[in-house]
Amino acid sequence: MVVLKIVNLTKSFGDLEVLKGINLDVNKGEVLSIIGSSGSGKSTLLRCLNELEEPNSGEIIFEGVNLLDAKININQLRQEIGMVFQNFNLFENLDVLENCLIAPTKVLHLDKKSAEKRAIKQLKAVGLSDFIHADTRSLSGGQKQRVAIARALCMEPKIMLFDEPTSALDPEISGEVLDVIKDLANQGMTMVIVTHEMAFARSVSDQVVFMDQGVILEKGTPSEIFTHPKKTRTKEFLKRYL
Amino acid sequence: MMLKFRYLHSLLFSCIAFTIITTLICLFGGINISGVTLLNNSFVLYLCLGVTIVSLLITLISLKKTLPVTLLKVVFILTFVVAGYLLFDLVILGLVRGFMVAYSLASKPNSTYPLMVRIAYIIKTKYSMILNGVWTTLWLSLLGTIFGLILGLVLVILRTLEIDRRDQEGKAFLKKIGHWFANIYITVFRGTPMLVQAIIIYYFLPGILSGVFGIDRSVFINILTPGVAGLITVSLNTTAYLSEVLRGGIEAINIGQMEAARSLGMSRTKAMLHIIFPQAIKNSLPAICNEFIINIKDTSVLSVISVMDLFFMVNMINGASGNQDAIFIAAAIYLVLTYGIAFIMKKIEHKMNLVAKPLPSSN
Repeated sequence: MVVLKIVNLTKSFGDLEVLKGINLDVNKGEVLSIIGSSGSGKSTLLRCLNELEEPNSGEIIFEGVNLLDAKININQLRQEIGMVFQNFNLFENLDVLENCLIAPTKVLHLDKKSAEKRAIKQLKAVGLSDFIHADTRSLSGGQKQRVAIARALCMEPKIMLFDEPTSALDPEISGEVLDVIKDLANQGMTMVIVTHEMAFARSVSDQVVFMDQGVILEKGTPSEIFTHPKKTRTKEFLKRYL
Repeated sequence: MMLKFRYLHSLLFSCIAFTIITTLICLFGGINISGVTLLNNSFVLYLCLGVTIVSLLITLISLKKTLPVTLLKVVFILTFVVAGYLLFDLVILGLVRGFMVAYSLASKPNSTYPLMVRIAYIIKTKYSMILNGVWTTLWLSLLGTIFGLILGLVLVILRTLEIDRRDQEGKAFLKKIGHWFANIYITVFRGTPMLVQAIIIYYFLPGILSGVFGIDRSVFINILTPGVAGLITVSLNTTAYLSEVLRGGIEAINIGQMEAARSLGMSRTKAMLHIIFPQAIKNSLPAICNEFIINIKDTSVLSVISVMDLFFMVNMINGASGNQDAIFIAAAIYLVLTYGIAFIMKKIEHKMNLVAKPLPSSN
C-alpha cells in the first residue's frame, strides 16, 4: 500500500533548480533511504515532504490527500508526519520531558496525564528514562537526537522523516541513534531517511534511492544499489564509501 | 621584574580618579577637618598638578625601564587610600556635618553655608516631597516598561506575520496592514522626542478622543490626568523600542526551533507563543532591563506635563529656594535607583542562565 506518493515534484531556489521532477512511492512499513552527494537535493526533497520547503510544482499525495492543495490544513497533516533534523532542534526553553509534551498537549490537546504517559514510554524506548527532567543543553549529541526522535514519536505519526540524523554526531555516538532508528524499522514504522551512513542504509532499508543533481538517478533494493549499481555515477559515488 | 600592563593601567586610572576627585573638592570649597580648611582652591590645584606630573613621570619611566612592581603597587594603593578618604569625607562626613549644622538652624541656610549644609537642610525639610517623587518615578517607569513589553509583543507579532500562500486574500491584506501599522508606529515613536509625545498626548489627546467618540472633552480631560498621560507616553514609547529589541531577540533564535515546532503540527502562532517568545524574551532580558533603567531617567521629561516625579519635585524645591542645590539630591537618587536596579537585574539574569544541572552518567 502506497502511503506517500510523490509525482513530478520540482523545487528551485531562485534560478537554482534543486529538484527536477521527482517521482517516488513509499509503501506502508517500508524504510526508504535517500543517498547522494551533498547538494544533490536529497534534504530539500525530504523537507518538501512536510512542506518545510514549498515545492514549485508537482504533487505529494499522503494517504490520498495532496499536501500541496491550497485548501488543506497543513498543520493537521504535519501531525502525522514526524521529522528528525540534523541539528536536533530540541526546544531550548523546555526540558526533555516538556519537549515531548508540548506538541501532544498543545496540538493534539491530550490531557497532561496521558501525554506524560506517552512521553515517558517513548523516552524509555530510546533509553533516556533517567533524563526526563534534564536540561536539553546538558545532553550529548546522541542523547539529544534520541530525545528528538522520542519527541516526534509522541505525536504517533504515520511516517517518519529523518534528515541526516547522524551527520552532526561523531561515529562512535551515531551508533546509539542508528540503533534507535533500526528498532523503529523493526516495529514497522514507515520511514524516509536521508543519510550518509551507507552501511546503515544498506542494512535497514527496503528501498534505496540515489539522487544526483536534482533527479533520482537510480532506485532499487539495497543489494541492487550497493552491489550491482547500474549507473557509472552511482558507482563513482559508492566507491568513496567502500 | 617586568612592568605589567595592568599596573600601568591602574596607575593611570588612579591618577585620573584622584585628579577628578580633588578638583571636585576644590570646586566645593575644600574640606574642613576640625576647623582647618585642608583643600582650598590653590592647594588643590598644586596638588593635582603635582600628582599628574609624578604619575606621568612614572608612566614615562616605566615605558623605558622596568620598575619594581611593589613600588607601583604602593603608589597605586596610596593614591586610592587618599582619594577614597577624600571622597568619603566629601560625601558621607560632609553630609553628617551638614545635618548636624542643619538641625541647629531655625531658618533656611543662605549661600554662605557649605553646599552639604544646604543639601542637608533640604532633605530635612522636604523629604516627604522627594519620597513622593521617587515613588512616582518608580511606578511610572515600572508600569511603563511592563505595558511596553506587552504592547511590544503585540507589535512584534504584527511585524513578523508571514503571508502564506494558503491565506485568503482578505487575511493576507490584513496581515499587510499589520506590517504597515507596526512600521509606521515604530517610525513615529522612535523618531520624535518623548517630551513632544507627552505634550501631544496630554494636551491634544482629549480633544482627539472626544472627536472620535463624540463625548464631551471634559470627560477625557478628567481621565487623562498628568499621571495617566505620562504613563501612556512612557508605555507607547517603550513599546516602540522594546518591539525592536524583541524582534532582534526573535531573529537571533535558530530557524530550526521554528521548523521543529512546525514539523510537529504547531501553527505559526502556537510555535511563536510556546517556543519562540519564551526564548526571545529570555534573550532580550538584559535589553528589557536596560529599557527600565532608561525609563527611570527619561520619565524626568514628563515634568513638562506636571507629572510629579522626582525631577518635578526637585525642580519645585529649587524654584521655592531660588537656587539649584536640590539637583544634587536628584542626581544621587537617580544614580542609586539605576545602579540598584542594574544590580538586581544582573542577579536575576545570572539566576536565569543557570548552568545545566549535573546528570547521572550514561552509556
